[in-house]
Amino acid sequence: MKNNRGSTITAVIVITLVVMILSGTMLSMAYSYYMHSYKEIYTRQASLCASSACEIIGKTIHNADSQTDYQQFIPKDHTKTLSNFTLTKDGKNADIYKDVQMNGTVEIVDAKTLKITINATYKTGQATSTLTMLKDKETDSQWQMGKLK
Amino acid sequence: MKNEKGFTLIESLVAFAIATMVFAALSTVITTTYRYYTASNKIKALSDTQYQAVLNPKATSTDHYTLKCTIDDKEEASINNLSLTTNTSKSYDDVIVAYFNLTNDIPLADKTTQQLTNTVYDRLQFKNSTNDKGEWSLSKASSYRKGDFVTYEDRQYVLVTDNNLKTNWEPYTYKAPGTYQSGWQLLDMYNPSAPLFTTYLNGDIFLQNNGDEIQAFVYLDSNPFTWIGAYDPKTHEIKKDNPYAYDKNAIHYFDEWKDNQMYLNESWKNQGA
Repeated sequence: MKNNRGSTITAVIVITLVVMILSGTMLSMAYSYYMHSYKEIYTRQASLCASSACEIIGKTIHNADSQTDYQQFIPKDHTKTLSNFTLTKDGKNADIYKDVQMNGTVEIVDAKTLKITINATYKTGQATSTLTMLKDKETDSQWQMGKLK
Repeated sequence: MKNEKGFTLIESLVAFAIATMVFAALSTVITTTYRYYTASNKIKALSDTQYQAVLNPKATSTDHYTLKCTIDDKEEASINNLSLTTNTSKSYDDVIVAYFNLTNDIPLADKTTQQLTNTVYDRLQFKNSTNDKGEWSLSKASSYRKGDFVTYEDRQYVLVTDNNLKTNWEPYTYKAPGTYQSGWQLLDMYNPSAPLFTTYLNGDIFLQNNGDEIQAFVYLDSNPFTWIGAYDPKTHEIKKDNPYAYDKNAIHYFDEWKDNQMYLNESWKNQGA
């Protein structure tokens, strides 16, 4: 009988420890899942910013005339870097864009392929979008909108 | 044995207390876990709804935003006339879900229709719905491209050159088309009240209303104000009943010009009446 002393409490403590570890793991996973859902909002917003910037620049390049200053987006002999993106209205910075940070590149992949890459950060969210623009012929002057990823 | 019984009782009580606390803690964990998963799913669903809404035209949209950036760390670039679409904020569990999306609603230009030789005939030939931007808008000033058509005060203009659009022509360009430095060429010469402030091209017809009659002129490089004759707004012809009311040597300019007005809006033709 002497040996049985404390066996119940020992068993309870062991079970308690196991339950606590399992509970902690479960709680931690649930919290991570919750935080992931929360942060995904920022990632999505960053993705929206990156893809919209890609499309806007792509459209501008598509519509660029040989005599307009939008030609400045099209690289001649090197990859062009894009930085310090800001959104303004009536000359003032738009508040809604204050947490958006973007940079990117416009790269001539070959004579018929141009690639626009934009990296965007919105609060804790990050995303990258790429727009490929194409020419039917090397001699064509107009870049056509391609796939956005 | 007495001591053993006491120990067993205390042990059972402690074990029961611990078990109760574990049960309570477990209940809390299960409840919290359930709450986290439920909240996550609700936030995801709300996020999906808001995401779709911001890509949907029904969402609130505001024009005239400008996206600026620096190219190669030295050159400033800006893209004007962008629309910003935003969600109405919705929240769940103190998590606010709202998106914004920047778009450029300017249609993609078809360069094959934007060739221009600056003759009256060609300017009219290239008028088509693709290049017709509707009413002139100051806010879209920098978005117009060579070959675009606009209407302004019931008259129609075509942009014939767009180099230096943003620099040398300010502020003229940004007032309205038709000013002498704007690069916009008048297409519709049927409005007799229009002042002669447009940069006419060789062969353009313009009308002047002197109060009693409307006189038609042709703009020629050799003589910018070559008189043709009295214009009849009812028939849209030069009055020929009186031999002194027109110049028989210049009448062909009017006929040639009118032959080329294949796209001229009928209502504008009748405006002179």
